[in-house]
Amino acid sequence: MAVRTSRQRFMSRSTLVMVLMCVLGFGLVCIGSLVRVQLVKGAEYRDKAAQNQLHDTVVAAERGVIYDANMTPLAASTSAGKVYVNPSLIGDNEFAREMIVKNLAELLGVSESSVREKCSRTGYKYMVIKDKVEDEDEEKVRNLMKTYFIIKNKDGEERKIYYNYYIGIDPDVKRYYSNPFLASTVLGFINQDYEGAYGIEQKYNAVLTGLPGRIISAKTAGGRNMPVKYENKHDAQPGTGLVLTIDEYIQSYLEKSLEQAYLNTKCDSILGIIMDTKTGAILGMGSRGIGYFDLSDPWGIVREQERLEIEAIEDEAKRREAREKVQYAQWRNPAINDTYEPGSVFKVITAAALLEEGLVPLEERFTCTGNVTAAGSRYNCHKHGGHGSQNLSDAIMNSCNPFFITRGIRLGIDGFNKYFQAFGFLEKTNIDLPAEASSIYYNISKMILANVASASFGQTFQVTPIQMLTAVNAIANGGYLMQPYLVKKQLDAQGAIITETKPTVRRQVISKETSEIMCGFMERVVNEGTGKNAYIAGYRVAGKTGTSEKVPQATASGISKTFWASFACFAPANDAKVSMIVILDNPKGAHGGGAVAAPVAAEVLSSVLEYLNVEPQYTEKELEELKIEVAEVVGKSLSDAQKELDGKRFTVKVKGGGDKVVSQIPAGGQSVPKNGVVILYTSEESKSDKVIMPDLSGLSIRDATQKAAAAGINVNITCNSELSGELLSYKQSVAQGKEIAPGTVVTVYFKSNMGITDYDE
Amino acid sequence: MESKVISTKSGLFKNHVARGGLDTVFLGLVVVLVTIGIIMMFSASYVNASFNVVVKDRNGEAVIENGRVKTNPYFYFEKQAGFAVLGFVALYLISRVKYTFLKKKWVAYFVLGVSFLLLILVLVNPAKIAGKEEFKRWLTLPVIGQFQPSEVAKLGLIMFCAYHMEKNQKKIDTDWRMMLPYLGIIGAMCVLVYKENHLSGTILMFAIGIVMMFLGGVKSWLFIGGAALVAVFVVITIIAPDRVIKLLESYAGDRITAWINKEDFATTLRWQTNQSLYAIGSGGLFGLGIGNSKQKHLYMPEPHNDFVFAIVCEEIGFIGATVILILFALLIWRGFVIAMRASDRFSALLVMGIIIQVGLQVILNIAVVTDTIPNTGISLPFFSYGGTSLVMLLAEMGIVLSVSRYSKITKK
Repeated sequence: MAVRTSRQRFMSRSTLVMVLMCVLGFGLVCIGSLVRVQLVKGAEYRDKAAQNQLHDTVVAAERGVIYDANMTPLAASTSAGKVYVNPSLIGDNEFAREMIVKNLAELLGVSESSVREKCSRTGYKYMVIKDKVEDEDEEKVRNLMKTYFIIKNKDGEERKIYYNYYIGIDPDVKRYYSNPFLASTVLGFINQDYEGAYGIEQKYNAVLTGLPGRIISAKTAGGRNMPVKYENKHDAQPGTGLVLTIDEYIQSYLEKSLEQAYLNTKCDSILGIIMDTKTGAILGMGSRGIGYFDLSDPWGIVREQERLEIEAIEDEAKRREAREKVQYAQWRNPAINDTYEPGSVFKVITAAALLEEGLVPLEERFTCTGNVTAAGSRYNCHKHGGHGSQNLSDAIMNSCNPFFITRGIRLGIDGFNKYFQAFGFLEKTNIDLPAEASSIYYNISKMILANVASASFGQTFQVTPIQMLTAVNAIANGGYLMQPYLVKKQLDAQGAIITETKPTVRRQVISKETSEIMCGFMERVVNEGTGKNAYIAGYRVAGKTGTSEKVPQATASGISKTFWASFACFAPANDAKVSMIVILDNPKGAHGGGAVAAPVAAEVLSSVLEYLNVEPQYTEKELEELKIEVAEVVGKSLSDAQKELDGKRFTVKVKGGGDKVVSQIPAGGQSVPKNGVVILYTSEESKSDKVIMPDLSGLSIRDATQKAAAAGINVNITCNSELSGELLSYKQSVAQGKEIAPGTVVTVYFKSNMGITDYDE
Repeated sequence: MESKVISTKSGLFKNHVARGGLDTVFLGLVVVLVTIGIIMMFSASYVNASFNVVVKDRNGEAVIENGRVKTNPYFYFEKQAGFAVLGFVALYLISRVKYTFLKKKWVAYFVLGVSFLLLILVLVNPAKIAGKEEFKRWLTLPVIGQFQPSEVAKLGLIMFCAYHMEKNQKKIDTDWRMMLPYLGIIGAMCVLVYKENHLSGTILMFAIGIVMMFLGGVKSWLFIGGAALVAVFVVITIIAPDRVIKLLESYAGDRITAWINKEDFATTLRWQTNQSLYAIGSGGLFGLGIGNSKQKHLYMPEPHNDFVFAIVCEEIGFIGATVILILFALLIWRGFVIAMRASDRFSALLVMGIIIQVGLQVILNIAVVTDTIPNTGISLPFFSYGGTSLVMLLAEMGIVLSVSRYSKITKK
């Protein structure tokens, strides 16, 4: 081998140096690039990487439970699932997309087109297909996720792909309602943004929501958790629980009667509010026509017929408009959000003011001739012939307009406004519900006496139902204007009380003496006057009817006269426990407050007072009409049983051929009116016999009782027994033609149709 | 160092057994780089493989385990380690072979011929690889399996140039036209590789050829002329990219488009480059620690391939990356030393060619991952996953080591 001894190079030095310089130069460029990317712009790229990698999951806090006054949960949240897909993994794999679309649409009950649309957004990694998925459906999706489908790639190679590659489930919460049709506008609902909308849910959204938790975790591009320790958890804080003053039972009584009246009177809307007289706590608040929806489907149209009508609209924009209009009407709470003209109900306010100011001596009499001229204007009384000579008590009982016009102006503009303001009509009641409306009243600085004349019998201004009830309530409770409220307590997650609402007296408006006098006057209205349909045997109800004509509206069929019929009341009159107002908007047919609002109030109040264990105090006459308790005779021999019952003036009917009583209707201990029917069964088979419910409407009490006895059923009469001669039945608790067991007690409602009008016929 | 086993071989074989001591510094650097390379490639590929490499049974059907498709997170590591073993065997054997064995006319023309043959074959019958249907870089041969002909051709070009330039040294010095055959061969190879849709291979081929010509004694005016041409091309690319892009095939044009419009194509053309920058940036000075890369969690496509260095930067930071660059620099410096001390012009050119190839790949790769030049797809020697590349590289290192045995410094 030839070994060179001299250091001879095979490349020129300059060449080597140049190559070396090039390598060194480029090497430095590399280092420079690294410095630029890694150190100079490092933070910027780190942020961008983090934006890519970090996945911020919001864990909704469990929303607070809303309880009724007896701690029955009305609205509660339970955990649910949120099913999502990762469309970026689907990409342009049409087969996979269709498999996912078909399966998820079927399992979750959503439309295929919406799932497909979401699955096609391949730029996204997280598309929620359905939230608030219940456990049952969630389980179905979980089962789907364990299965796979087979796809062929371009080379015809088959590949199994599991659904869990594309589909995932995150935790979610769902709101449940023990009765989705009860107190809907009071409770409100949760909108798509998980915020309370309307009602308590909106007003108390902040406390109900709690603090949502967050999980910040690093995710792979596939949307899965990275196996690195990179998780930052903030636990969710559950929301505050609310205990309402609303009582589920009272609310049910109210809404049941409102629904019935809404259907019977065909009014545009009806509302009712029940208040604890002493505290101002709202025990029940409901409406129909406006303000009634299905809590479990707040966007749905609650009335089937209305829903079908909307769906029948062909033009899409018009259909949507119609739907939205109904939706907003359904969510509205007319007791708080709307105003009405109180009409004659307001006369009790004027009367209380006059008494308090000593402007009308109790014995002062005034002769109503049917019209009066006062403050430069002529006014008619609703009774064209006039009420004749009356004192204040008579005038309230008759709801005489001229009396209140002539006496009202004695207060003067300032005096009238002083009481108008004192009774709370110029301010909001501050009830804990959202969007309370203000009253519509004169510009006080520009008022003239004629305005007072009109206002003193409740016309030419509008107030909210809750304002009117609160004012009447002040008359009932000794003169204290209360702040109405719905939330009694706030509870933490463990159920411990955080805050408890104390009743707030806004001010004393009238003296106790004035209050007592007014209570007596208003009791007379129910016992003898326009409110006699609110009479409840055993309970002393005080009230005032109101009928106000709305501004005439020009319609296709000419000018239509529409009315507000209302009734405000409280009971028992001497020591009021509950106050109530019922307002009907545009009832068809009979439209007087005494004719259509008072019976509703009576129906509700009788149930409520009984529920509240208010001891009935019967008059002698009432006691006579009272029912007799049926003895328990089951197990006794037929002859013994007949002997025992005969003495108490029952009609006894025997069914079956045995000689021993195996069962009886009504059961022992139940009450039946005198001359009622008791059925004794002597064999089991005979129990299957049925009778047909007769039509008991439009009859006097005697006729109805006789007809019922003939049919073999019992009637429970509800009416004002003081005026029995004038009473006619108008409603029965079991529909005509229905098959019922013999001896069943059917409630029949009677009302008077005379002397109850407070409006111009 | 002489092995008894080899010395007992037949006479013909004996003549070709290298005798001198090899350069242990160079060998040590190779071993260190391959070791680090495999570890880092394993770290980078683990997540991708555990997600994408499906284990199949004998019938070719995916194996299901616990309701999930079974994957093999060690797939790339196992294969690369296997190739490394194969490569070191080749390195050892070649380093024992006297380099003069290669200094033969028939060898030079044979490797050139084989190179051209393979480059043409790959265009005629490329192996189809799922997801990379647009490229024609791979060739499937019996026994050897899948490999990249361009890897072979690079060495072929170096060997041919080294031989030819030594033989015609005087002619080259006097007649500039001697450069034409080289230009022709380099040009033809570049066109063939470009047709494979292999822009990086083309650039490397071109650069290696130019360097070989330069080392071989090209007239400097020609070189300056060539450099000027390249400069003009680069300037045109920057000033009027649209024209250049139109001239290029779409795959190459797209990459230049993506390089120029850095704010656009975030989810398409620039996805890989952006993810690379995020990875490098995330690493900072000290890195997140080996195994802790976040960008490898499916953000970075094929983190084991050309962009492995981005994950390296993310995991071991600027300091770690610089250490690796220094190791490469030392390897290149040591290669220069070996070339300078080589006993003849052929071996000097051979070592220079090989070492320049490694250097170019390192520089271009880092320029790509840092978005300094368009994403051409150049692999990082010893780090990027790839059997042909690793085996060829180690074989080339074997050649360098073989030459080092005849280094003058060791012959006192």
